[in-house]
Amino acid sequence: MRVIFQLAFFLLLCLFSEGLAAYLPFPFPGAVLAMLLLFLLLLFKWLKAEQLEESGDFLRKHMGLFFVPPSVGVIDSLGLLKRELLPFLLICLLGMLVTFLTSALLSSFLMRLQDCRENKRRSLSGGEKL
Amino acid sequence: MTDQLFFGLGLTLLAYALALLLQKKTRSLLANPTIVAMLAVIALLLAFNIPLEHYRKGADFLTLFIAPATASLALGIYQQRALLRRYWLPLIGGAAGGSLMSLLSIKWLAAALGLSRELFISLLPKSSTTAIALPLSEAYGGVVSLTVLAVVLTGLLGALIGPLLSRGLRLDPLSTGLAMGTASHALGTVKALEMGEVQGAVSGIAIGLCGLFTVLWLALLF
Repeated sequence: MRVIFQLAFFLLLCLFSEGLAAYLPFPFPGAVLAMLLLFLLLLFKWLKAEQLEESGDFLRKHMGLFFVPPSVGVIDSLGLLKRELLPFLLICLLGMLVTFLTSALLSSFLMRLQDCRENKRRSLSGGEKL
Repeated sequence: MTDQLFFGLGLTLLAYALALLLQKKTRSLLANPTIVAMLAVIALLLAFNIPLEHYRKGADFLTLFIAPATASLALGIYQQRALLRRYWLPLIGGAAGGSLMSLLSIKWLAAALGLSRELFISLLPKSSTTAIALPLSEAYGGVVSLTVLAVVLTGLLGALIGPLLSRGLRLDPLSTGLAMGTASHALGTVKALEMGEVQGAVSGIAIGLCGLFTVLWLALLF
């Protein structure tokens, strides 16, 4: 019964989010809105994470299953893919490298910045105590 | 017979279960269950000349669960909220910058290589997780199945190359995890979990952040 309640919750949350997303002025996937809403529900303690445990774990663990049907649709686009296969592969590789390097280097820079500021604050407040 | 609802649904579940088994046996990242199951289904449809519409009838039931699965990502991020609170600046900054550069680099490369608009839009959201990339591709006029391919390929490449980059650049665990999740979503996270606890946790957060920023950048810039 618990699991059925959980599934009903997930599906109705998505229904609500899809409806809400239609009112936004730009394409905002209802699923992302549902993710945000669920995060807020948990953060404001209107829901406990344990209450969604069984379905939540299953959905996350086997997410790959749900993508099989849309990926099989590639049958209809084989011509397009064949014509531009090399640029397709090249963009996948180069785009990934650029994304990885940007996020890694930016994050390590910002982390040093944050640590640096906190150390300064800590040594200042320490100084006041003395 | 293949136009029964049972056909597409049963075939997909069987193919995916067998693909999981293969992954368990080989323990290889290349045996990605989604791709293995996709190839098996395509091979069967082509071999017996079964129309895609027949398969879709039953299989589309599973597509319905992409949205709830995306929503469930919030559970993982919530479990790591202490980390998010402590390192909000590098996490949010890194994911925002990474997802922006992903979109821009694809735009420039597509222009330089003279890619068709259809394929360019299909590739655009590839850095975010499939559940987010797919509706975005659809909304902006891409080909959904090509987006799925691009997302999975990007994920595999990141999971294979990411650890080498992390070692080569002597990255800290937090930045490694963030880059793995931002550049290659759930497949990067699987690898990041193997690298360490911090890497895995941060990578999980990065999936959600990267998806969110991809939505926002696309709305602002494209």
